[in-house]
Amino acid sequence: MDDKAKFLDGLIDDLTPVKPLPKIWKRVMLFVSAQILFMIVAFYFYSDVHYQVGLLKSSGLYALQLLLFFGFVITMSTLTLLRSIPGRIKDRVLWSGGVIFILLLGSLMLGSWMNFVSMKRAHCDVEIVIFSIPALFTMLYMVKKGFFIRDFITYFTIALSSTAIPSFIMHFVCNPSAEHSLIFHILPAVATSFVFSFLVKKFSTPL
Amino acid sequence: MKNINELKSLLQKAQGGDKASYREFFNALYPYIETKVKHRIFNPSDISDVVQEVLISIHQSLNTYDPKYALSPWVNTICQRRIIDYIRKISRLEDSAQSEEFDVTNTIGAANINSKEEAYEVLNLISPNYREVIILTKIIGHSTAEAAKILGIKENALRTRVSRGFKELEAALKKEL
Repeated sequence: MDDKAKFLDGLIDDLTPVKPLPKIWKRVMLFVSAQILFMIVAFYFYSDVHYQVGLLKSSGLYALQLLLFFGFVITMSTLTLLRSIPGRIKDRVLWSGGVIFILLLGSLMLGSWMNFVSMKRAHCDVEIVIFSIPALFTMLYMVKKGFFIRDFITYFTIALSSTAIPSFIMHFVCNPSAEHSLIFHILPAVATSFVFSFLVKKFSTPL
Repeated sequence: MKNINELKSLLQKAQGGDKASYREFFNALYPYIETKVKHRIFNPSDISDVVQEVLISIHQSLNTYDPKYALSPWVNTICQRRIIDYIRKISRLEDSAQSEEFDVTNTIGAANINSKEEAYEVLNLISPNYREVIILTKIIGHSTAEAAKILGIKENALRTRVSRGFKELEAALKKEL
């Protein structure tokens, strides 16, 4: 028996019935809702929260910002999970997440001419980083269930889809002014994602 | 070669645990994967390794295939990713070979090699394939492109051989010393 036949026999012997992965939208909903629920529960036990319900009712722009933020969370999670299924998306489609991000930044800039006066949380930037840790591990686990591509893009999208959730929640429970949002909500999320992906890529086992 | 619908139905049955269909699927797919890999990888000794890597990945990713979608993009993406991994691995090998050259120079120094004749003698310790690339590039001083042209191989294959040759040489010299 030649090497090829032996090799194929090994793979065939190893075959067991497989359970296909659940639909993408179900996995995205599970991931996002679990993380949002986790943050709400954590906030409940950990500190007082001032939800910006009044502002949401009175400002269309604020509602749009929240909608774009949520859209970004959903898009990033979907793209990250889709990338772990071979042949389902091209890498260039990942830029669609960037388009929503730019729209979000645009809506924040528009808001900088308005007065969103609100209390800020004391350590919202640190909270974003800490609250993104469970999401990060959950997403890593979900991606590893599929076809895991060990490159910078994978690690970055995993990190960004995880940090985007606390960042989105913070836009609802902290000061949503443009300057504060950019420096204390969005910048920590993006920076953490870069640092995480850089470190994992650098220190992960080479192929 | 079976048509794509037949392959799809074989894969679907394999997902349910049918080993006979799985064997048929792999037997039909193997030549296709081999051709794809041969188009991208020029070192003949590495082709079967990469093909096996692709098949292992297909085996490990069976749960990611949804029969509602086309089979070709699924197979092609897995194949492409494993080829990229191989190319990355090779380029990392080349990078480390550059730094290893210094180690080898030290080892050669310790072996007390003072002339080209002695160097040729030392190179007899390694296999002819590796010996000729090291002689062409490091002793005669041809560029990678020139040496590749002389040997009728691709530049990447030549770099890989140089890197592996140095590793073999270092190991052989350490044993000699």
